Amino acid sequence: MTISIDVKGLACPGPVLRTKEAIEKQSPGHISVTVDNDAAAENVSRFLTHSGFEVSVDTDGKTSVIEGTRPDGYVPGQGSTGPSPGADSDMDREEHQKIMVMIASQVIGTGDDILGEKLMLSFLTTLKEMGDDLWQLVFVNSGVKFAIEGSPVLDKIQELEEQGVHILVCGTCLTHFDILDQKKVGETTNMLDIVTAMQVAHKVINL
Amino acid sequence: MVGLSPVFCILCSGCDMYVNKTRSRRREMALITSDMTVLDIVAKWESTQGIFKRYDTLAGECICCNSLFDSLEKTAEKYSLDLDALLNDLETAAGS
Repeated sequence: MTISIDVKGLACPGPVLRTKEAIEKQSPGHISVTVDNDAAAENVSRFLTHSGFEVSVDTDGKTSVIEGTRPDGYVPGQGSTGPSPGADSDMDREEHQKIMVMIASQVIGTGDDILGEKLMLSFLTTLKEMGDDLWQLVFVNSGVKFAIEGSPVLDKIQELEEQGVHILVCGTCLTHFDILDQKKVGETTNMLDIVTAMQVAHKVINL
Repeated sequence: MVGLSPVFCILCSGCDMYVNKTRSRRREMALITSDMTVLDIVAKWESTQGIFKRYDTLAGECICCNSLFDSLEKTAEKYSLDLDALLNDLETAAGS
């Protein structure tokens, strides 16, 4: 699909916002954007480059036409198809955060374990409120007991898994407690997976 | 637990009252952070454009023209702006 938009007369950041909106709504293979000032030409060109378009600019001194073509097979969300001078890593950030939550206990805090357990159950039940930002939920040490049959929050964790959250359950810990065969949710994992997940995550919450 | 105020209902297992209150509160929060780019912010909250225009005077040039792809932190550093004040103004505009 080819689309053309005319953003002459728009003040910054209007030209880029109109271009962004057009790309998001129509996912064109080719886009032509007409602008009437240097800042708009530079910013639209830069935005298109970051969005995976190969860009060329034709100008007559008063107006510029920025032509962008996406290579066949371009996958949205993978950023530019090649290095671009002056590219900022800020623009490559993904839409959502990757939050990793590690549950290493059956209680939250110290002082009263009955209260601590209630708090933990409440936390695990409410965790879905993180929405798409919740990326991985990792159970280690006695936390693995939340992932076995009879767990009061098993259905909540299964719901999270169905919604796309990666559930990792420490294999060494399951073996230690002799409950490996009772696991009902998640992927049995090892320390390398956990360390890698921590490295990739934008934020790690450890309880 | 359902009858308790959500503020104190920390033991509630996600009852409707608690969850709705939380969602409502989250909607009220703009959640603008210093690592977001100027473009991220103006694209998500149109009302913030006016704030950047206002700061153009302090910056000495058009921020949206010259720093659209920079993070807020980098922008504040570049123009010697008060980052906390800028964040506060943007969040107020985004939440209005």
